[in-house]
Amino acid sequence: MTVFIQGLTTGILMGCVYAFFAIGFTLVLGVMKVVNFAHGTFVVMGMYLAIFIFTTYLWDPFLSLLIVIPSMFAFGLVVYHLIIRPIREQPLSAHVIATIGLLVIVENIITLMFGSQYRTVTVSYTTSALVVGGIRMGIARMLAAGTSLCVVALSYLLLHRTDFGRAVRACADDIEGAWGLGVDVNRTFMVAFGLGSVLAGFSGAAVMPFAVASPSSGLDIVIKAFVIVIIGGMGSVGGALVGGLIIGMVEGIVSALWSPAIAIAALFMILIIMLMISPEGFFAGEA
Amino acid sequence: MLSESPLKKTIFSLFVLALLAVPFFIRSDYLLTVLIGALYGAYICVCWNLAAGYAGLFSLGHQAFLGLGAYASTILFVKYKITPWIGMFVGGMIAAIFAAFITFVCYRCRLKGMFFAVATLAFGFLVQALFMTWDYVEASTGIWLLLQNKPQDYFFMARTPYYWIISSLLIISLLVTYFLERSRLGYRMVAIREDEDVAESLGVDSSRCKIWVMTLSAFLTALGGTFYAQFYLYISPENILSIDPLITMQVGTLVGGSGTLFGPVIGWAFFSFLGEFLRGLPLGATAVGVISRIIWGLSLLLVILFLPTGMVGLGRKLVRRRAREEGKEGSL
Amino acid sequence: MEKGRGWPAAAIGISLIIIFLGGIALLGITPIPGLTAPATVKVGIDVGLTGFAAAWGKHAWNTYQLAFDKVNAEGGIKSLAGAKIEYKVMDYESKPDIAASNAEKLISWGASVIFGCNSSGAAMTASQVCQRAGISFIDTTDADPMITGRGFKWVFRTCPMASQLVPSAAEFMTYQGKVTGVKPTRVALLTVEQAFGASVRPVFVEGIKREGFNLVEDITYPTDQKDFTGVINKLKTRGVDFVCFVCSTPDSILLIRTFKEMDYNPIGHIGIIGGQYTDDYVKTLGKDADYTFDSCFWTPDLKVSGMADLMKEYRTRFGLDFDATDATVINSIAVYRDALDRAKTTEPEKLREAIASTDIGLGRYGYLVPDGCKFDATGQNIKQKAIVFQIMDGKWLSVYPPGVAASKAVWPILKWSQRK
Repeated sequence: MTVFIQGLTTGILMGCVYAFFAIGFTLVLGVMKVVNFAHGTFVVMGMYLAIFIFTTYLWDPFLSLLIVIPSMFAFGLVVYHLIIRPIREQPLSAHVIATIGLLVIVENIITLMFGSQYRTVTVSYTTSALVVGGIRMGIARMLAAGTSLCVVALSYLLLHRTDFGRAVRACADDIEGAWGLGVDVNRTFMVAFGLGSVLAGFSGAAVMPFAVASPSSGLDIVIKAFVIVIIGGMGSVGGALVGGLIIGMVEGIVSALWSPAIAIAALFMILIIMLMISPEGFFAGEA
Repeated sequence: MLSESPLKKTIFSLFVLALLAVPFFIRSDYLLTVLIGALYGAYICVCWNLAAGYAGLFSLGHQAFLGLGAYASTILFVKYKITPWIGMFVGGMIAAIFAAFITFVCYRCRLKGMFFAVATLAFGFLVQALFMTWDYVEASTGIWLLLQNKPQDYFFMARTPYYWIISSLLIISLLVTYFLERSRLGYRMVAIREDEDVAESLGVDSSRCKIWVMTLSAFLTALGGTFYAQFYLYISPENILSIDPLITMQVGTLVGGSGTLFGPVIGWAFFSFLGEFLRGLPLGATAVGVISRIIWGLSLLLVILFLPTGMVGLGRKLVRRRAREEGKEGSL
Repeated sequence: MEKGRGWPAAAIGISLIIIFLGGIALLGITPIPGLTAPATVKVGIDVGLTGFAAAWGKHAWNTYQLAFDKVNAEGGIKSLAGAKIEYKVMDYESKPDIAASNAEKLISWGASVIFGCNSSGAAMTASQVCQRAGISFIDTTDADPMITGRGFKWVFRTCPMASQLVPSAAEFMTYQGKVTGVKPTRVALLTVEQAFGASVRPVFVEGIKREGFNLVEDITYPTDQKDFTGVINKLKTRGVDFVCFVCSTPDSILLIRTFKEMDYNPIGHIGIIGGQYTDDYVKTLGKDADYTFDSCFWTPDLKVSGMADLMKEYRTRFGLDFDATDATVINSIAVYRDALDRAKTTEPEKLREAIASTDIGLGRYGYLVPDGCKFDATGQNIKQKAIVFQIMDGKWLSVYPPGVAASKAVWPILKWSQRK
């Protein structure tokens, strides 16, 4: 029984982290209907920025966010302008090729600068844990999960309580209509993509206290994000959280009771079931 | 007005002649291996193009058919001593059945466009994950085939027989594409791809068409899987069921021009030789692989940004421009 | 949607193909090694410098450079009239397909021998190419038994493989049980899903059972597994008191971190080569790496003359510490040089025969591990012993077999709460 509860607990924590990875992805997909296969590699950029700042200045990854967030935002704006804007209205195939090209470029620039070997960041709380009733919860993991929840909440508020958020949702629903209302669609999309990149980098930095990074982790991350987005619904931040929690828990429990290898198969089976019952996801249409 | 069939036939014959001539000029094992690799890539691109380019079935799980073909023929050979020459057709049938099933289910659940893509993506990863843990197929260890010379069992020591086999496969797949383009099924496919609802209202049974095309594509892809197994002599979920072959299929087809006959071949020929060329540059051992991949990725980006209709699309634009310059045919 | 006239593009495409072919054909002229007394001896090196194999590959490449540059500086190969060694490296990017194509390219460049590969999958494909082309392949560091298990006469392996590394580990466990009275009663085996893990696992399962231990958990995990809390929790609840690993660097790091995070204190844990002997492991884990056991090829505390100087030279030139991968490369180069002396030519078949009849001891051309090298009929070195080490204060100390070991093991290992 303890095995089950431990698996569940870790699963919930990791689920929040996965949701964190997916928020930026679902935002971009929902708002401008662009599939960004390089999203996972943006997360990895955040990881390596945190690693670099830690190795050079010994700043905790959370402190390095002061640099990571503006950098990723600027990066996102540039990428939007150069790559995303031209392909936005083209079919899915163009998105796939363009973002795969971007993925390859970014991944290899990271390899050129940092090498392919695995990197970690070891802070004072990397291996500390909180013990509650025999269940151990890693402090670093809890911090990342907590940050994720705050970011989800903030994102929701941003989308529903601010003018910018309203503009974003308007563009997502009906571009012509949004133009008509005087919304600068292009600028909105650009900022939204910048935000998506920030969220990606943020999540990457936030997990560095306990994660192991490598330049090629990007593809796995974006595939998980895809699964989450299908379950939760494109463009829905709350959906990303629910999706993340579901796959986190499934992974945690199946790994604990059977084996990690079976857990992966289980995740895709869930995806297929979701596609058959409700492909739009649980929170389709809502942001 | 030029009729295009004779033209395509001419180009096609030239291509076949070039393919036939090669082994007489090229002796180096290394070059033959590179060529065989390029032709194999072109072949799987053409197979994927049937489904994705012509019918708009953007399949992100096609590598599963490759793997099913490879594993079917290999298991049949290793465990039951059935020659891969027969095994490959069994593999093809298995892939075809799965393809038909998936397409049917997607049709029933109204999964189109991006959702169809995600469904196939899930299928592809599911197959990989299952094979990674299934001991009957040696799970993640993979299966090694012994290097030997046994033509009746699809094994050759020399490279040239493999070259003939893959060239034949490529030519067959191009012929299939060519005749499909001109068949009733082909016209229906394009109608569905352009606008499914309109096509249906005109009486096209889109589910039948989609299933046929996907099945055909899967069958041919599986034959390629067996070739891979017999040539590279090692299959594992990490090579043939991974996303790498899928990226090959997409890059070649989409860059060359999806929905065209030669697009996939040209697209993949360009990128595979680009890759080989870049890897041979004198940039220092550690840097060369990385820099060549960066340039590769950059080329991909540039092509898609500036040639959205692929290389064949560029060719068509040039033709149109020349026709406009040369003649005053066609009034404004 | 018009049906297109793709012919200009098709024509361009075909011309491009023909031009490329012509270009490459011009580059593909193959010199046949050994026809004349060579002014240089060409050596091909097929290693992984990017991707997961880079952790070992970058070390190997360093050593090749160090060793061959030294040979050339000291006057080249004396038995071949001072011929210099011309070496060429190719990166297979941790992909077996590319390893095979690299081997082909190196052979067409004129390599008299191919060294490789630092990952079993790549070694399998590259050695296959060499077998077909009739050029000797010397495997420096890979453990998959199948590499020398295919009856390929052109394939040799100087390092111990799984069926030698595993018995060392299992016998060590029995030995320590006897010597200290603390015997493992419930053993678990954790294996990574790569070809390396999958090929060693059955050997390990058999080895553990043969020594009479009770194997209660046999868990396999995917290569990029990011979280082991579930796995460790299972070990704890099932009362596992000893853990055996077959893992690579990132997972070994994560596993030990999770041990600490969950305060899991087995009697000990032992790996088979893998990540535990790399400097990444020690650097990243710091003090947490201490007490790790691993069955491996070499340790820095062996008494071999000239070794200390070699390690200093390595450190000065590359800024890294010499590790077991580097040692295996030195050993393989020693075998090659000895064979060249006896063959007195780089003609492939004669060279192969010379390599096959190798019988050298510790110290010959700098061979770093007892008892040296002698190949059996399958091309496997049967003289070299596998050494078990324990990490202490960030250093690898040999603790088994008794005649060779320089230190005594700390067994059982200290609990996390007891460590400072």
